[in-house]
Amino acid sequence: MTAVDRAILEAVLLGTVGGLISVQILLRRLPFFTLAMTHATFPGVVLAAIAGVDLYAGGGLFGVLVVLGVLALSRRPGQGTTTAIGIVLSAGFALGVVLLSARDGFSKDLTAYTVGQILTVGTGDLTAVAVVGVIVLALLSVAGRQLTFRAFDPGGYAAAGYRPTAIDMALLLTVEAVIIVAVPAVGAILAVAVLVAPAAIARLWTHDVTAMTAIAVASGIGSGLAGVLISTRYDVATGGAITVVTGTLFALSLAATTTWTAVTGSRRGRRPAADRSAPATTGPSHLEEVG
Amino acid sequence: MNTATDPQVPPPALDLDEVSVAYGPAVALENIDGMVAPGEAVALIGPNGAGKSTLIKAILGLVPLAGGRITVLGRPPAAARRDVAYVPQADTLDPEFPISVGQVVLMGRYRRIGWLRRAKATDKEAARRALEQVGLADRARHRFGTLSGGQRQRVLLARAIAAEPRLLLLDEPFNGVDAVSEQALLDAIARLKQDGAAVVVSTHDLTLAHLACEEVCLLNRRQYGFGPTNATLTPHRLRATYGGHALELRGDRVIVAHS
Repeated sequence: MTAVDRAILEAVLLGTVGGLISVQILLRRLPFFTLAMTHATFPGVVLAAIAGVDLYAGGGLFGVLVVLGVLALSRRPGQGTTTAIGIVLSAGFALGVVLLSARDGFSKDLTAYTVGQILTVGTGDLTAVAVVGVIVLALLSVAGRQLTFRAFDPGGYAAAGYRPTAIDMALLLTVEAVIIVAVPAVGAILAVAVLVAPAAIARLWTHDVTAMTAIAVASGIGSGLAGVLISTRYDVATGGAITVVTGTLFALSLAATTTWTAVTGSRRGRRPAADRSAPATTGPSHLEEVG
Repeated sequence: MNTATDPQVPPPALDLDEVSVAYGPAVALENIDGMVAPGEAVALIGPNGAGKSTLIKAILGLVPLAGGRITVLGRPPAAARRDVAYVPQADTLDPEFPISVGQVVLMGRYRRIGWLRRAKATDKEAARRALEQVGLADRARHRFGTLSGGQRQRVLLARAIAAEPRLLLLDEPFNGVDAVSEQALLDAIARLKQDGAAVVVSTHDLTLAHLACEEVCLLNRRQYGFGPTNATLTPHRLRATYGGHALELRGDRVIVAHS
């Protein structure tokens, strides 16, 4: 298998896994939280590289600590989740930069951890994405309904007798696992594109979670393949190319669906005028209601 | 309770025995005492912050008690959840959420369906019938957020009906609800009671308390009365509950609380 073959396989696997989990991230209003987790995972990856331990183990362990840290911070009165996430995001990334710069001859590898290099992924990386993919599929097939219930009606979920903390931890740890396996290909900074954008694109086209998931997976795979293609043909950074394609896809979808709604005056996707002040999917995350 | 041990007599749907709830040092509820029989409804009446929602959470077993005991259908609250359904206020839910009316109602069956299995025909039939009972059978495929506030409230009641509860808890279900939806909610609640379910409903609206409930519980941190609706809803007791003159009693007996 050549490097390009592996890159293509990685793009397909990561597009699938990212597309699947992105829908859950969007439904729970966790895009900003995911952005913070990707940045905060970065120092863990660097530490693992310095200590010479497995990159996945190091980054994963650190990421779990970050998840717990944010959850603990956001529970303190007077400290909103957004504040806690903002601090964790910048501090985590800064720690990674400091650690990297403290090592002589290490700084040139900075880009490998921040924006990734999909053309250098090995079979170990591919296996890791596949394993996490199985975990994501397992989570969705066992608890897909419950995840939607929890996202739609956090209070009602607890009232129905479910344990919110259990399903929240399962989701957040799975998100962290996807981040870790995305780092070698697209880097800690650009991983958020793989984990958030596909669902955001899909949400523009449909109001149904199942259809959303299908479109998100297609967008994820499509962006990945197009990115690898552009990258090898024009010799530009692959992580960047994938992310630019994803961004373009979102912009085009937004333009297309907005135009469509304006032209047809379709009421299908519109909400009643009285609800226009209601919170949209960009509102505060539901983390306040964890546990 | 000797009725709880006697197999011939069904236990009360809800038994509140000197219930107190505290959030840290702040006392939210003190010595709430009362009983609701199967097929009966009780209205929780009191100002905002009186502890109505806290009492509902306590009945669901979601907040620990500082004192007293709650018995639901002869069991502790946590052991009775399968037979208890909760209806939140519709406007607390995101109208942008990508979900259909039918999917929301089917949530009422999730505890029966379990984690891995698919919804069975009986589950889908129960959801369909529940939606029919609130008069929205033709809206199953519509997106939840496209319905009016009152219709969304009816969908959430349908979700609770689909769970086939023996105790139904409703949090301010009539807030901002139009007359048509209000009547549909009242009809559905009446039918649940006929089928033997007990109902606890928190509300500001005394007219609706008279229409839907045999009993009322006047609440503002502590209990200002618990008993038959007509005998308990006296101007004297209401003024005590709402604090002096922070209340007007109009001809239609609707509470207007000034802050």
